[in-house]
Amino acid sequence: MDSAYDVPDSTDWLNTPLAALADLENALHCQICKEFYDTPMITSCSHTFCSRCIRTSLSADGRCPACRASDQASKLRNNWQLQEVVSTFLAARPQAIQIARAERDNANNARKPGKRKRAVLDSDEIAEVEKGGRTTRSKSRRTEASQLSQQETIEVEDSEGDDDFEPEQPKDDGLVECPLGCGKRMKIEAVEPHLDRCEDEKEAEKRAKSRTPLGAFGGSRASPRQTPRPQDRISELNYSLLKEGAMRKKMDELGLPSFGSKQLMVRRHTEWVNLWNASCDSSRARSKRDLLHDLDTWERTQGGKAPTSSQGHAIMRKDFDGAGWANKNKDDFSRLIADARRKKNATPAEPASKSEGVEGMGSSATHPDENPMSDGTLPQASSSQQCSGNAHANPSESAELGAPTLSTNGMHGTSSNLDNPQSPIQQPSEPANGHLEKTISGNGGDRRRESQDYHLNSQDGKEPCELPSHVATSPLKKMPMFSIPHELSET
Amino acid sequence: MNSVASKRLFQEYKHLTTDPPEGITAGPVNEDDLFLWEAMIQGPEGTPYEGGVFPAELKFPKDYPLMPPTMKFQCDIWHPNVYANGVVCISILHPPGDDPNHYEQASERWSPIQSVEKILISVMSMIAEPNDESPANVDAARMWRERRSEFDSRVKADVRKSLGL
Repeated sequence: MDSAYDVPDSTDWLNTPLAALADLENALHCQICKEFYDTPMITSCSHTFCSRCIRTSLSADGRCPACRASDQASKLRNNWQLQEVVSTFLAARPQAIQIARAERDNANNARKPGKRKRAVLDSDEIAEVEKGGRTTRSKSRRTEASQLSQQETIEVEDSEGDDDFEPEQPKDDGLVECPLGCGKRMKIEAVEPHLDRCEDEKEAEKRAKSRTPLGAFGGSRASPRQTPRPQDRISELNYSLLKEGAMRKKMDELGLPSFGSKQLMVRRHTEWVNLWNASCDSSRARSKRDLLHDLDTWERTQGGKAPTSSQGHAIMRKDFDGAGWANKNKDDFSRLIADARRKKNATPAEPASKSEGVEGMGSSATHPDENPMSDGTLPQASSSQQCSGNAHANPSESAELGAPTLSTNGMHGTSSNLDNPQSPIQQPSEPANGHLEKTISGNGGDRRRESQDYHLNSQDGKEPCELPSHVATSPLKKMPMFSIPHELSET
Repeated sequence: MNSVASKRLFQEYKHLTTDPPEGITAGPVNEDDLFLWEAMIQGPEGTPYEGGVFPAELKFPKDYPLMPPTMKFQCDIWHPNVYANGVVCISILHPPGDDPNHYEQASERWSPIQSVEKILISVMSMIAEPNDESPANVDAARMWRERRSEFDSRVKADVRKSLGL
């Protein structure tokens, strides 16, 4: 395992005399990234998360992850006190954990006299660590981990290339300062449009500052080297109003990669806004280069350069490509259709309306999204069969039921009734209860097995438990199956 | 590559390894790919699943923890909330937002503050107490509702079979 992955965790305290500190450490963890708070921000609903975590989360669904209250990134406020608690704890942690571990090892060795020697070795190791000298592998990993954690409070992201971090030398980023002296740095092309807004922005900023005077002073101890240049937060754009070309131009203006579709650029811009603003929230603003490095990490893991083979992780999205899905699973659908045809052929007499229905099924089966809907219509179809026997008497009416709205699932249920023109005549002669039971245990079960087949297929296609299948199962609640058993269970 | 998702997955992995909840073990199948996990869940005591050990696979999306993982049992498990192919249907694994059918509260669904540990604990309690409101395996749900003793003996037989008894 890569040692960069070795992270401090609350479980480090377990099995030491200071096990109670595990809970304290957990309380200092952000609930989103499960790490120590990094630039903690407080939401309108008084929950606290790392700046970047909550910003990413809010741009995804606009709700607080803890209580689901809707919130906006612009309403976030720094929780400077908590930040100080975290950094103080982190400073004390390496020593505390060493003492706790030494204590534990001592206790262990006292119980096993044969290992007395080891305790001496351990205290030697600690001495060595304190001197910064060479240590054994396991020890050095531990200290590495604690050093890593200290760095993490300073930087928003744990970056691979620490040399890139040069907060004191932002001048190499190819930007120019605002000629009106607002202190803002920007690309040469951006100066012209900025001049028009410069005065307004300064006003707005002053107003914002006067509203939150605490924010300016609270973190002073945690940030002895406050960067002199003020950084303005940027906001997300009204993406829906921007055409692809305009979006590309915006990205170029910001100095961000501008390849890919508009959708990708929007995602990239959102990510950038979150990174940038999180850096603004921090008491130590990071250089643009550093932020771009993070954006590149995002690009390689989730953005345009992400490995595309990871379809297995796909999760149902709003922009789900129904036609593509139908194409990809054509084999399954045609197998289902063939199955349906075979079953149909098994029944001897076949009215003309039947094949019509199969056609209708074929076309609707190509739209998996519709299945849940048609599944929902099933109970109505079957209840109309139960309640009014003459529903079948009119072939055109039943064909209507059977055709486009009904899908694979529905066909077997209805078609078996449809195929049998005698059934409406036979059925009324049966006792009402017996009929109900028959429909449930026979057709109903059958149909449900079919619907299950559908889910099964859709899931074998690597879209497990996605929305449609869930939607598809839920309407089952309305099915007679559950209303009748309650009749049965009463008897 | 230290993406947000892999960092968090590693954090959770470490936590689960050093302090696992009772009856649950979980971790990446291969430490090079933190996005595919394997979990073992013990059948809860006092249920027909008692004594069984159920292996499952968890797949995490690249934008974890914004979006939930999916979970699939790698063995036969006869349960109203597990599809025939092993996929688990439980509200905590459903993407954030409101259920279009209003069967679930938004608060029951996935949120970034949830974790693998909470998922596995939820699944364990789901095994103990099936939810037949929106079943994934309708036949199992029917059997559970109508013929509980048959359901219990089928589950027990499956457990014995899986243990090679």
